[in-house]
Amino acid sequence: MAQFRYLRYFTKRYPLTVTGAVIIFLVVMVSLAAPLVSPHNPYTLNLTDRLKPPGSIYLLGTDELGRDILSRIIYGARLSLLAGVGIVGIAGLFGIVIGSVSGLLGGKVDQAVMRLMDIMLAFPSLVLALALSAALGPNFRNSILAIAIVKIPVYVRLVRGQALSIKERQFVKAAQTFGAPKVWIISRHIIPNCLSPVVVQATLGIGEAILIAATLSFIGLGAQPPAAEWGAMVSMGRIYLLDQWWYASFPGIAIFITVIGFNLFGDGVRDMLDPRFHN
Amino acid sequence: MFKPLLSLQRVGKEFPARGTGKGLSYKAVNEVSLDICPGETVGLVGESGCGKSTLGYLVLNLLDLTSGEILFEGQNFANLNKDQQRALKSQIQIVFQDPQSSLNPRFKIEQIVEEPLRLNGWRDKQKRKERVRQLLDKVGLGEEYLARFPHELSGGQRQRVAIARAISLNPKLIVLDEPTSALDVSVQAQILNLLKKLQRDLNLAFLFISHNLAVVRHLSNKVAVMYFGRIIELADTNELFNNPLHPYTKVLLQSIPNINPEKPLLVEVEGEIPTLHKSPLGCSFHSRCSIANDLCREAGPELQFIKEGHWVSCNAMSRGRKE
Repeated sequence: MAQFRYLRYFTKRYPLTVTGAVIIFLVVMVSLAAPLVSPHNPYTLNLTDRLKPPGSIYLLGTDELGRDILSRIIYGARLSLLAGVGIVGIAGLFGIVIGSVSGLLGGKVDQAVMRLMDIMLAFPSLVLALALSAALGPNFRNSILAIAIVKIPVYVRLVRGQALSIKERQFVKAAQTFGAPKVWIISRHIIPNCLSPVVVQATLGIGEAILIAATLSFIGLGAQPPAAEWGAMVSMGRIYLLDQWWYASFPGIAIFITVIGFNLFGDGVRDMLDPRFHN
Repeated sequence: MFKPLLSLQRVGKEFPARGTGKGLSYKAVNEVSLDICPGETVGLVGESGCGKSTLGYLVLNLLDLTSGEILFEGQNFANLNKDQQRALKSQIQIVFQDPQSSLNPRFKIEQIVEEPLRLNGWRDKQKRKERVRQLLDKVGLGEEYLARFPHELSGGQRQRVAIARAISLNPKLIVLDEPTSALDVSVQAQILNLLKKLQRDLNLAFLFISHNLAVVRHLSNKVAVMYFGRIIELADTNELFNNPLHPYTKVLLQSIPNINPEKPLLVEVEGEIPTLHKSPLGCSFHSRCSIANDLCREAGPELQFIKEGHWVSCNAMSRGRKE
């Protein structure tokens, strides 16, 4: 009962954060239970039912090969979540390691690393991801890798800034007096103490990552047909937009809702971890 | 007297001065010589920015020397190999001013106290645990604190944890960098008494860095007064407080608040501290000194022997003796 009351208070106080959390929860649940909730097989061709408008059998219509769009969107949620979490996870992991080492060592290593990161940040992230993805070979896994590499500098900068301030804290000095090696200082003192801003950044980053992954698929550098990927579906449906509006629109709406969910939730998490927020 | 445990010989530390052009540097610590004997407490007082803490870091080998040398039991840290350096480092520990910042907020108390043990060859988990309990007991904390986090403790308790960690490797010297100035007055006394007791039990030597003269007087055997990177007066505690010779020490002692209505409340040192990158010629104190003359503006005095247990660095002393 008390928990319920707290939930109600929370919903009233932070409606947008709760909305975001609910959207994320629904998307996650749907993608986990995809085989149970999808009305049709997303890959079964049914050439007699090509490009059917939304109706009672195909709730959101069918595509040019007669596949059920709703089922494809449901399975597509798996790919988009995987892309979002994978990209942020890889970028965050490398960012944390590179950033904390760079911050602790300082000097020339730090200078070299940070200039490299500046160069990477100078490119628009989509353009760089596009080039990398094309170079690695267009498929879904490579597109995730490419976007993750492009996103590494964001986390490096964040963690390095934290590391710079944490390494001057006295518990690090104390650890040095009893002979702690650098690996110990990084893994035990610096990384655990710089995680909370990284978590915020990562939550906010998932939405953007999903968007970029979908964009790469749309251009043809990400997931390849017949994969049920939202960006690829929008891309295929584009040519039918004038007569069969449902083909491109519904996957697009799915991207929109999911990204908005992560952004709302990320904003909420950021506000909650901001000390000035508590009053 | 005894062979000194720690001996600083004309120690100097310069920091490069960024943004002021080439070749300039700040002399944070300048020609400091000081001996600390086993079991002894040496107080180090001086105003903010005079180099007290830098000197502490030098003693801990957290910073490299620019000139001079530091001998610990006759050994120069710089001449040792890695294993020996590690062993020597464990002999000198520190307790910081702010226990909030000196304890990793993500560690439990047990992890904090066992960290130095883990890093210095205590492989056996059970023995480590036993040792941590002993240490906490020594500083007056019970077992129930083992699983707590620093933010769940009061300032005084946190400082006890920091002390337990500092004594975990059986050091011979502990640098106390203003260990009580972040604490309430009532708690300060408890911590000071705890330090005194531990010093007696474990034969610890303290380098006690502070700007609280009353506390220094309570704890120290001898006191070094620092000004602008130099030791300007060094004397046994009673001698220094009863018979200060350097003009700076005199105003420093007069600035201790007192309740005697006859005396003026507080004496202020007039004039400005010289900026660090423009070291003045002559005595570093001459711009604020009440008895400075032309000689003081040109030639800096050296630390000189006045009598047993009292050294001063002031031109007026040598003047007085010549006349």
